[in-house]
Amino acid sequence: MVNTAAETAYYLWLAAGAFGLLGGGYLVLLVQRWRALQAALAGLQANAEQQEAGR
Amino acid sequence: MQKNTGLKILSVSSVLLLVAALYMVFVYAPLEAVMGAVQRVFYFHVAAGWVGALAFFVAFAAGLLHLRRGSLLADRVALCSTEIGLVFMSMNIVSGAIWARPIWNTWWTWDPRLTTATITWLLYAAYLLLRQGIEDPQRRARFAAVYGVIAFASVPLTFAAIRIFRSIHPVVIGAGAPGAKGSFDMTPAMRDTLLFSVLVFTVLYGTLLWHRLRLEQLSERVAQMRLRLLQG
Repeated sequence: MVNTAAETAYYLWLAAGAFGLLGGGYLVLLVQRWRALQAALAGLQANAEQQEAGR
Repeated sequence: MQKNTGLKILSVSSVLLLVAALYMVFVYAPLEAVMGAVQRVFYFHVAAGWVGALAFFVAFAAGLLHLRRGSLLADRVALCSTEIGLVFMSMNIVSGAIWARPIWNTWWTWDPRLTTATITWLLYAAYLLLRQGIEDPQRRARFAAVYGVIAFASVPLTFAAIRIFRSIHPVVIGAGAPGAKGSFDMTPAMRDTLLFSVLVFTVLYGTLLWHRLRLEQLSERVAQMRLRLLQG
């Protein structure tokens, strides 16, 4: 059982950190993937336009 | 990709609902007499477990749909739902261990509920690995659908584990297990908080699924464009 207020705060912060790290980490991962794909798409589109112009 | 107003509204609503849920957990819900404030972990712990189960059920249903109709959209839904389910299942397992340390005096014990939850987590992590190993999209979708349907058996087993086997994990819904450590009787305010947290996490799941599906759509667009360029 939890004895002190400091101990309680420690476990609650630990839980908040776990939720934040997992949830926040996943969100950051999604945003990074989105940005990387947008950049890749822009690059591919520019490449396709160059190919078209070269013909 | 075009701007999506519906998704924007849903995203903002999810954040506001999450803030409201935090208020209910830390202010509205009363302090539990024996466990104290550590018991407050329970509201999001259960909600995360619920979303994990829901996400795996969606993956199961999408897998069946793919096997019946060959829909690649269903396969995409299964993949996205499984990924989100794993995140929530991880939250559930980790928060449970943090609660267990002061209540059970240990971070982890091979209790039936903890064991079946870990098996479920591993099965779905393996689902993502399996997908990485197959190149052909049709074949990958079929294999993943069959695997997803079979793996889902672990979800009801995890739910029932504390009701079938002797366990120290508390039972929240239905009759409590006699050997459970950390059980408590919920007051109406506690029940309201739990139900609201479950609702908020469900909305959060819907929002994340929508975002994740858009990401998958973009990923496919990039793959198609790359293929078109390679073919000249």
